[in-house]
Amino acid sequence: MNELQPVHILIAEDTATDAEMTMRALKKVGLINNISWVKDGQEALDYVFCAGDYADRRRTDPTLILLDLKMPKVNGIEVLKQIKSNDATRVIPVIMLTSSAEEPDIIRCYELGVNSYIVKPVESDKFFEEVSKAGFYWAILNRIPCPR
Amino acid sequence: MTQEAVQAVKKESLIKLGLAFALLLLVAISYVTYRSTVQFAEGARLVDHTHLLIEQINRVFSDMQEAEASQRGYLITGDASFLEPYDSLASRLPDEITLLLELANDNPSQCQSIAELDDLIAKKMRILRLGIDTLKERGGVDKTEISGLVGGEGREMMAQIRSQVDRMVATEESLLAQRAERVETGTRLTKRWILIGNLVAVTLLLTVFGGVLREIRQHRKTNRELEMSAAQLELTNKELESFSYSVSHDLRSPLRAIDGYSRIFEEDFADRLDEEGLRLLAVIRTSSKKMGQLIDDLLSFSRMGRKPVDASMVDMDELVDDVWNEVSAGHADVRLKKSALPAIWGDRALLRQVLMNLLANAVKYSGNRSQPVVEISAEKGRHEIIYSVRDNGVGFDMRFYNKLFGVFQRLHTESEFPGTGVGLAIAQRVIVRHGGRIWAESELGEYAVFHFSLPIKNTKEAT
Repeated sequence: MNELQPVHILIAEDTATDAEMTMRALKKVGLINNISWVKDGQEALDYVFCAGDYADRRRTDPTLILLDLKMPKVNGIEVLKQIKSNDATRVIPVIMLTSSAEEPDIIRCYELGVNSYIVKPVESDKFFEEVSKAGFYWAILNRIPCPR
Repeated sequence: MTQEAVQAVKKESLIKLGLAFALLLLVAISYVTYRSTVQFAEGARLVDHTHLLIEQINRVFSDMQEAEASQRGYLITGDASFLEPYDSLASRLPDEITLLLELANDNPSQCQSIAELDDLIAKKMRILRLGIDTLKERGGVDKTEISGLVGGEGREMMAQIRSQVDRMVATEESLLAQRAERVETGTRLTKRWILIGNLVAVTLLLTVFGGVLREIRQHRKTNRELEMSAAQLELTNKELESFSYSVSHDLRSPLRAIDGYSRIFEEDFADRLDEEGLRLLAVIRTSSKKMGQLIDDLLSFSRMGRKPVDASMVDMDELVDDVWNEVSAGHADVRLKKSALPAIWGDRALLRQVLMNLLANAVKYSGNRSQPVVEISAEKGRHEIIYSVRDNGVGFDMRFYNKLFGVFQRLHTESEFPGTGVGLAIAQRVIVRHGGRIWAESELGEYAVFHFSLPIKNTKEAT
C-alpha cells in the first residue's frame, strides 16, 4: 500500500447506472474516500489536464483511471491516447472498463499503452467482484512513481 | 428459372444445329468443287485426246497422198529414187494405223471406221504396188498405161479414203464439241452450286454468330445482375450483422443495471423484505441473467458471421481431445469413443467452437443415461470429409428437424436441459462459411447423430 499518496480514482463513464455500480464495487474494498466521476471523454481530459470546468482544480494526478470506451464527445480511445502520450500523465494506470469485447478495440487500447482491459460482465455478481478486484489491485497494491 | 433453363438449352442446340449444318454445307461444297475439278481435268484430257486423234487421221491421209505422189513420180520418170518415200511409208503405215487404233480404242464406232480405212488403205497400197511392179517388170511403160495405172481404180480408192477420213474427222469434231459443251455445263453448274452453297453457309454462320453474340451479351448482363445482387446481399448482411451486434451490445448496459440494482436492493433492503418480496427479486435477477446469456449468445453468433475465416491445416484428433477435456469435466461417467480423425483445412478457432457445441450437446443430452457414450468418427470422401458426433441420449423429434439449426430454437424445455438454443445455429454458420454442410438424424429416446462435412481442398474462403 502506498502510504504517502491518498487513493484518488477517476471514473469516466457516460452510463449513470454503470458509474454508480462501479463506485459501489470500489466501496466494497474500502476505496471510498476520493472518487471522481466524469460523464464524457472531454470532461475526463479536462479533469486530468486541469482545463475547462476543472481549470481551478488543484493539480493532483489520479491514482487510477477507469475509462469507458464509447462515450459522448471524445471516446475512450482518444482519452487514453492523450493521457498516455503526455509525459506528465503517462504513468497513471488506466483500466478500460467497457462493454466491447471486440478484438480490434482491445488491440488498439494495448497499442496505446492501456494497463488493463476489462469487459463489463452483464451479471452483477461478476461485475461487482471483478471491478472490486481490479480497483483493489490497481489502486492499492500497484505502485507508481511519486508525483513531481 | 426452369423455363429459362429450357430456353437456354433450346438456344444452345439451335446454335449447335446451325454450326453443324454450315459445316455439312461447306463439306458438300468442297466435294462438289473437287468432283468438278476432276471432271474438268478429265474433259481437258479428252479434248486433247480428240485433237491427237484428228491429227493422226490427217497424218495417215497425208502419208497416203505422199505415197501416191511417190509412185506417180516413179511411173512417169522410171527413176527408182522416187520410190524412197513410198518404201519408207509402206513400212511405217502399219504402225501409224496401230497408233490410230490405240488413240480411238475408247470409241468402238471410230474403231470400226479405222478398220474400214485400213481396208481402203490396204487396197490402195496394193494398187500402188501393182503399178510399181508393172514398171519394174517391163522396164518402161507408155503414157496410156500410166494414166490407166494412176487413174481408174487407184483414183477411186483415194477418193474413198479421203471421204472416209473426212467422215472420221467430222465425227471427232462433233465429239469434241459435245465434250466441250459438257465441260461448260458442268462448270456452270458447279459455279452455281459453290455460289449458292457458300451464300447459305455464310448466312448460316452469320446467324449463328449473331446468336452466340447475343448469348454472350445476355450472359454478361446476367453476370452483372448477379454480381450486383450479391453485392447488395452482402451489404444487407453486413447491415443486419452490425444491427444485431449493436442491439445486443446496447441491451447489455440496461440489463446490467437491472441485475446490479436488484442486487444492490437485495443487499441493502433484504432485512425489510418478506419472503415473497425476496422471491420476486430473485425472479428479476434470474430473468436478467437469462437475458444476459441470450445476448451473449447472440453476440457470439454475430461474431461468428463477421470474423474472417483464418484457414490452416487443423489436426482434428488433437482438437477433439482438447475440446473433450473441457466438455467432459464434471461428467466422469460419459465415455468417448473416438476413431481416427483426418486433418482438415479450416479455421481452428471456429472449428473448435463447432466441436465444442456438438460435444457439449452430446454430453448434455446423454447425461441422464446410465451409461452415456459419445462417439466421434470420420469418413473421407472424394471431395469432403464427413465428421459425425453421436450420443445415446434423449435425441430429438425428427418432426421438428427444420427448427434444429435455428437461432434460439430449442426442442427441449429450459428445465429439462439448460441452454439458449444458439449452439447449433453457430455450428451451422461456421460449417457453411467453410463451404460444408451440417445435418442430423435421431430417434427419440435412442440416439442423436450430427454430421458435418468439410471440403478437402478449400484454400479459398468466402468470408
